[in-house]
Order: sequence, then C-alpha cells, then structure tokens
Amino acid sequence: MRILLVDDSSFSRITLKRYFADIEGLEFAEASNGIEALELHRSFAPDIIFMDITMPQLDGLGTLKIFSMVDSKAKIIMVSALGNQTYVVEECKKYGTFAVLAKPVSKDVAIKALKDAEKQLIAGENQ
Amino acid sequence: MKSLTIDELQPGMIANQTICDARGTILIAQGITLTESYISRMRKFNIKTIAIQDTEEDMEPPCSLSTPVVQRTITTLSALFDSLAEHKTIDIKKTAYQIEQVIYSILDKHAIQAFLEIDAQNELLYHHSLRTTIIAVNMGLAQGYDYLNLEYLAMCALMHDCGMGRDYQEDDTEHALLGFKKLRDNLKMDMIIALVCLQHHEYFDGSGSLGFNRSQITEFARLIAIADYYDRLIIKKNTPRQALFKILGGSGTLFDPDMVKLFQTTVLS
Repeated sequence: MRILLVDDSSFSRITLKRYFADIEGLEFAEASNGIEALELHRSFAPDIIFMDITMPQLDGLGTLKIFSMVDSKAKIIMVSALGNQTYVVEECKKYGTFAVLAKPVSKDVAIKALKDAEKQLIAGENQ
Repeated sequence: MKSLTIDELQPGMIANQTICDARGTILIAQGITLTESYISRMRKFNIKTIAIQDTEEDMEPPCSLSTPVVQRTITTLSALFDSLAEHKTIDIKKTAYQIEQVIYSILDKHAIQAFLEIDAQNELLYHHSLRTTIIAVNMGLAQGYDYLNLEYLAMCALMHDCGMGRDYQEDDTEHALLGFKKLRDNLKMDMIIALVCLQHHEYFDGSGSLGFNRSQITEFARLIAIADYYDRLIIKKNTPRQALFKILGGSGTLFDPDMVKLFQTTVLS
C-alpha cells in the first residue's frame, strides 16, 4: 500500500509515519505543499493520501479539488486543525474525501482511518 | 531514474525532480547539476532523498537556439517590448534586458520550442503568450524572485494558454482544463506549469469557472492571472489606462490584492 503524506510540518509527517511504523507493507512518500503532492502523485501513484489543509502556496482544499479531477481511486484523508469546522468538513466531502480528522490526531484514530481506507480499497478491487 | 539519499549524493549529479520549500519557492530544480552548496541546502531543509538522472537517455541536451521559431521569437519579443513601452503604462524599459535574458534562457528547452512551433501559427495567440510572459516576468522581478523562479514563471506564462491549440478564443474556458491535462500527462513538464494553466482564469473570490479561491490558487497563477487579463483587455481594444483601472477595480474580487499591489509597482507613475 503506497501512502502519500502531505503537510508543511515535517513533525506532523514524522508523527504519522511513527504511528504506522508497526504496520507491514506500507511504502511512504512525503510532500510539504500541494504542488509537491501533485508532482509526486504522478510518479508515486499513492493508494492513500493523508493531507493537511493549511499549507502555503497551494493549500489542501485546492489540492483536494485537483486530486478529485485526476484520481478517483486514491482514498484521501484530510488531517487538519480545521477538521472540526463544519464548513471545512462539508467542502472536503463535496470533493470526495474519505475522512476528515481533526489535529492533533491520536495513534488509534490515524490507524483506524488507514485501515478503513485500506478495506474500502480492497473491497473496490474485488468488485 | 533512481532515487538517492542525501549521503549518497555527489556534486555533478543531475537532479531529476523539482523540490520546493514550504512557501513553494523552488530549492532544487529538475535538470540542475548538483553542487556542494545545493547538497548543503538540501541538508538545511531536511530533504532526505532526491531523484537523480542516471542514464544518458534521461539527459535532455539543450536544443539549438538558431531554429526558425526561436529566431522569430527573439525578433518578435523585441517588437513587443517596443509596443508595450509605447503604452506608457507598464515600466518596462529599465527591466527589458533582464526580462529578455530570462525568456532567452527558456528558449533552449525542447518542450518550449515544441510549444512555440504550434503557438506561432496563430499570431494573436503567439503575441498574447509572449506579452503575458513579459508582463509576468516584469512583476516577478519586482517581487524579487530568484533567477530559477523567474525561469519557471516565464515558462508558466508562456504556456498558460497551451490548451487553446491553434485558436485564440476569448470566451473559451475549457482550455484551462484541457491544457492542464495535456501538461500533466507529460512527465517532463513540471507540475507548476500544468497548475498555472489550470488556474489562470480562477478569481480570488472563487467566482472563476472551476471555483478555486485564495490559497487554493498557486502564487504563480495569481500573478499570471493579472498579466493575462491586462493583455486580454488590450486585445479587446481597451486603452492601457482602462486596462489598468479594471485591474485595480478587481482587487480582492477577481485578483489577489497583494498581486494587484505588485502589478502597481510595475506601473509608470
């Protein structure tokens, strides 16, 4: 399973990677803004994307909109301090995000989101 | 192409990917030859790995600058600088040499030459692309971008309408999406060029055709949107002063107010 972590805070990316350290079969790529994420998306072809919203240059919502135009397969999980705000959640849902998590994210919540996304991907493949 | 860790890098290796910092400023550009200072820059920004060109095939030798389309572009640029100076609106005389150098330095790229071959077949579109590039790079200079970012800005501005094919159509908004898809499918094109193509008709308040707003629009697209709009107004027979006032009037709605301010700094008082 290929995981793309998108966040301008390297601390947040490292935290998620640590949470997932015990899970086998994961391959990671990291981007620090939306442009890098879209660039990496072409070559890395992630299955699951964890993405922050507030990022400089091209933010998470803008990047999410573009992902929704080019990739209907990847499961996108938004991870943001804005994750509690109704407007943000609605906007994310409109563009097909799989889940919206509010920062700070606990290990259990992050792993559950990953496993749920993985399950859906596998179910989609078997259909 | 292979990916190497920072400890495996040697000066002289050629980067095969573009890496930006958190602000989106380019730190390492695809195709650049790594030096000790680039490698230490990567360490400073905690970049752990980078794709490196490892075969001759990965390397793209620069093209000749004596092809007819390049020669025509150099001649055309000179005429366009003169006509823009005649508008007596944008302060272009002092910066003309620097802008020319930036544009010349992207003309030896295969993708740019291939694009110009098509673009030059429609004079209106060709002149519009080049004038937009001149105005955008002039703004980029005022913004203090480094040379590498100015080159990227020039490529983005030159190719922003590549989705139009051979016809310049004022009312066509489909071209943004078409151009984006075309550029995104070409792995040799940096993503920022595709993104500017996608977003150059987006408005700051989200009322553009695809609904991107504010920080959902890349900085280069917010800048080029103004250069593009100015030239389209001129094409539609507005006077340079009318075009200027329409841009000022669009601050905060159509355009990023910071970019309008930047544009204003390039306007003759």
